[in-house]
Amino acid sequence: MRLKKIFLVLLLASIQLVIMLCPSWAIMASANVDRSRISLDERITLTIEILDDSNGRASQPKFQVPGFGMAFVGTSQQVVIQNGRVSVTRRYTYVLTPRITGVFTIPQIRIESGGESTVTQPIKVEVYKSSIGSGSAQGSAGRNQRRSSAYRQSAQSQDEDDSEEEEEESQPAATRNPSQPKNGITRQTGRSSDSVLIRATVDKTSAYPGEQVTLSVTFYTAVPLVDNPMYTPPVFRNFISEDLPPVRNGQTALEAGGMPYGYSEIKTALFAMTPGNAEIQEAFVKATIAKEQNIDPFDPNFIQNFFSGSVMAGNTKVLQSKPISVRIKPFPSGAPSYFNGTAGSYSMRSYVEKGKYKEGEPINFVVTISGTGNLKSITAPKMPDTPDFKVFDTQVSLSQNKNNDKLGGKKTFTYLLLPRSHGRKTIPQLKFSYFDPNSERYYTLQTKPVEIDVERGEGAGKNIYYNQTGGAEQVVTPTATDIRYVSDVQGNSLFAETASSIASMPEWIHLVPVIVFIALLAVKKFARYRDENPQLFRFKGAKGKAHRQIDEARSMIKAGQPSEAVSLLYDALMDYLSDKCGEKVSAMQSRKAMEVIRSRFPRVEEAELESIRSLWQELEMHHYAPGKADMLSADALAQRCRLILKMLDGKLK
Amino acid sequence: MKKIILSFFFSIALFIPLKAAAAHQDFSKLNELYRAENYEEAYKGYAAGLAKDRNNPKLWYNAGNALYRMNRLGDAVYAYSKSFLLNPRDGDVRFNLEYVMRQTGQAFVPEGTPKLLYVMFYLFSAAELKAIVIVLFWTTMLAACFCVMTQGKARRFSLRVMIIAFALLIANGGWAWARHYSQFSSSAAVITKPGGLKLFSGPGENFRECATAPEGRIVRILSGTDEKYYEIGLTAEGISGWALRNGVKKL
Repeated sequence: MRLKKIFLVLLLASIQLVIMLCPSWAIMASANVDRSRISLDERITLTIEILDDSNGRASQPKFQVPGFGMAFVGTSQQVVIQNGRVSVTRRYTYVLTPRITGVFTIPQIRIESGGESTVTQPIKVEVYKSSIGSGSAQGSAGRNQRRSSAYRQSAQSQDEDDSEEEEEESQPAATRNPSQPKNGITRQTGRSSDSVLIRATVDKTSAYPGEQVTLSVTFYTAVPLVDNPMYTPPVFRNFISEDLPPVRNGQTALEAGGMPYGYSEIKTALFAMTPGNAEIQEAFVKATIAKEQNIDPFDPNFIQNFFSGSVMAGNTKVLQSKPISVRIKPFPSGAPSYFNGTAGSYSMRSYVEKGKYKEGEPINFVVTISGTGNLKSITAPKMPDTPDFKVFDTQVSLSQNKNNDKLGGKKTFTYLLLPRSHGRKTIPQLKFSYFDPNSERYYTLQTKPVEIDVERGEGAGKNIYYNQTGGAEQVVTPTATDIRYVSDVQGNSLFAETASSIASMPEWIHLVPVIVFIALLAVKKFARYRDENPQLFRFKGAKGKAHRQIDEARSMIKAGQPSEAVSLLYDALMDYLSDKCGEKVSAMQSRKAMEVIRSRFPRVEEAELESIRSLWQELEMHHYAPGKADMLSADALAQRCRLILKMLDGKLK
Repeated sequence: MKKIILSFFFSIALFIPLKAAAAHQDFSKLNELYRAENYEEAYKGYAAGLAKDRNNPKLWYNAGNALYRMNRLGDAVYAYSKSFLLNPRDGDVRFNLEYVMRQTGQAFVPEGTPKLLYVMFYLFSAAELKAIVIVLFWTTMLAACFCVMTQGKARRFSLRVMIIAFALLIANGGWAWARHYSQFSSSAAVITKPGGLKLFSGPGENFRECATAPEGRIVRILSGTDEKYYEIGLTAEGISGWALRNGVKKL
């Protein structure tokens, strides 16, 4: 029992010891260089070896070595199974290229795997100048002498003190890139000992606004590239850029006797906008270069490397140029009034198509400015106000060339003028000012006054086309629609107002024509009935007629005409009896007439008939003997007539 | 008789310009407000003018413009429609009505209808059409009276006049009848509620919501018996439903 406890304690202690010791065995790393002292022309191979028993999970270390350019060459792997334990040894190989002389330290490199990490030991490397190492003292001394001389010249003109620039500017002029300007400044991040490098140069470090500054970005390569390099142009501040194609390609040696480089050069014309500082930022080139690798068919990893593609793959490098600053000077004082910031060297001419025009006929007045400089920035010279012409929009055309990497060409302004009247007219002078950076002076150009004869027009003017080339007529294109504006006209039309008045009439009014029509119809019908029944209407109207005649007779009596009145009373009685009996009574004897009355109207009594007869005879006597009628008897007769008619009225129905 | 007719027309001709001149100053001021983009105040002025004279098509038109600028599309359609009904020959009114109707998804001229025919159909306002009917009626009746009263040649002439006037009266009656069932009939109305109006299957919100009529849509009032609700019909969609009266303005 006691032995069991001791065994258990020992077992747990040994497990704990193994656990404690495991991390130190889990990952181990070391860094080695093939040489610790090299010249500037030589290279160091740095190998980082990682022993990892966690099934090879250690990732590629990330580090930088100051003073050296670094290129990753490749990796190799070795798997060892020993006493049942699997360990992976991985080697990462880098080529370090020194940039400057001195003693440098490859720093500790941290390796991480599965949560564990370890560091390599720092390594000191000494870089000396190649002449010391090569032993050819005389040659190197002469070379140094040339470098110093070139540097002094450069230093006098450029006043630069950067150590890296010193290296570059100390290159002999003869060994420079043929396309590189002699008085140019060269800045780069790469070195001539690099297999690939990029350089950006400008032809001047100070300029005026609008003056051309030519930028050259050159990519050099001394090794074959796996694919086409990718170029990212620089960003410009306070510059307008204009490409200067084509891309120049060729071969050159950066140093006398140095290795040959293939190069590609891209040029850009830059025009500063405002005085102050202008900047050209970094240009980038991404290039993939083939690996420098010894292929050993007897290498145990050969098959693995072959099939992993490491033999065929390349290394990608991103190169960048250094930013360049250019000082932009302000224009000198004394600028002419027509100067609007144009720099370059120009000439100006003007013309019209013919000397005679007609009223209403448009005139194309052409002004051409040609020369070197940024023609795009030139605006149309202002046409002075003139009473002779109406000036329409100006058409602008630009023809640009890039001869000898200098921007130039001509810009044509076509002014469309319309003569306001006939007669001899003068197109006024146009003025254009510019600043010439070479002579550092202002110049003002002006056109000559152009005289034109304008004849009387023939009726309506021609259509005006703005397109000088005589293209299609301008088309009016509506851009937007909107509601129409409010009306200033008050009220409605007379027709509408009248209609409104008629429509608003009370509806009963429209019955009027209907009533009138109906009434007319009735009248018409009544008239027809009357025409068809005359006896009836005479019968009905007999009394009224007789009374009217009696009244008239009485009026005559009063007027002193008793005889006429008696005659009228006689007629009244005869008419009454005729209308009532339906026969002409006056043509009958009184006895016969009484018989007719008695037969027609049986209700009439004999006494009444006697009264009628008596009156009849009396009236007859006065009627036929008018001289005997006096006023009193006539009046009495009228009264008797009225009484008898009143008496008969109820009986003669 | 001739003197009476002439003096009647003379008094009308004199009355109209005087009436117009009196209101012209106010009109100009309101238009100045509109020009100054003070649409709210301009609209208030136009509305005050309309309260006095509901039959002024220019006031309706200008009010429509102000409402459109205030983004009250429904009210703008209503105002333009009113103006159109009062003076359908006004090109500006037609244009603006067509414009706002297009903005509210409607066609001023129904699809498939020749525009000229549509213009002819709405050549006269309802009042003008009514006046023409009245004049033709009177002409017919008076010609008939003359026909009764006269004889011979005069009677024959009166008879011809009567026949022509009567034929025109019948045609006009048919035209007016067709207009009664057209888009801008007396039963037409406009949805003026901003954002549109809900239609229910009965006169109340307790009924099922069956459709939504968009703002500015011209609809027909099918029934106005309820105090709060109109039964309205959307002719194009063949939909009818009940909608609150305060969201609909009858033309």
